[in-house]
Amino acid sequence: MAAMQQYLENLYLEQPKPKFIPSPNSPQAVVFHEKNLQRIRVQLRAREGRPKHILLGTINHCDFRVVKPIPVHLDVRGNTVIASWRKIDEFGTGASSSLACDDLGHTIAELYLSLKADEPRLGPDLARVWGELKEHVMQRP
Amino acid sequence: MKVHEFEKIVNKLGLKVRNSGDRLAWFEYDGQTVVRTKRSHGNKEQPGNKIRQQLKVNEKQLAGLINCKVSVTDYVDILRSKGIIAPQPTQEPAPLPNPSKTKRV
Repeated sequence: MAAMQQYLENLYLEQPKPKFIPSPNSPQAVVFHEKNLQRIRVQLRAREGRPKHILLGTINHCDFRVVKPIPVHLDVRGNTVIASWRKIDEFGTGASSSLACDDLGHTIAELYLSLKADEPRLGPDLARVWGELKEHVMQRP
Repeated sequence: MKVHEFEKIVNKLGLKVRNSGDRLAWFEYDGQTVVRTKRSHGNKEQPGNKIRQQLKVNEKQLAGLINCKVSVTDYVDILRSKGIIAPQPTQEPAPLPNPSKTKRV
């Protein structure tokens, strides 16, 4: 908030705005205009980490549509990101969050087809999983 | 979890497998598909915790499955105790015929 007040004050003095230049090695770099420079405060924030939970609104499979967002938990183990749908104990892995979500999407599509084929002979737990899956995902006609 | 540990569980429990984008494995009991799991292809480390959750066992039981301390029968008992497999129906004794209601020919 203090930084914002300072920025507004500088604006009031009609000081030229600083120019932000992204740099490969630091979060951001600032170049000032040399004339009329009075006082400015720049606050550098730490890079935001990967979110722990996301809602997946689409899966990477053209035959399926997500009708209700899928709650996905993201976890990191070494160099691998694990995206899991905890309610049905399903997961996907990848080198990044998006690749892990892609893998999870493929797994969900695969699971949908196999549970649909085996529907009459599913155990109680897989029957629950099938019910949950149908609630979130539908197969395109 | 190493790939060979996963395969050990697959062989021990007699899981049915199918190769797709991943290697899918599922356990069938009494004509029903009961649990399923998967691993990715290749030799990279598998997320053991997730596979354990899919197999519905705790860490000790998973170690037992890998180390041959937990047999298929034990595994079925574990699943039965968790309600993943329907409990065995108890056989009721056949009702005795009531002599007063039996017709004499």
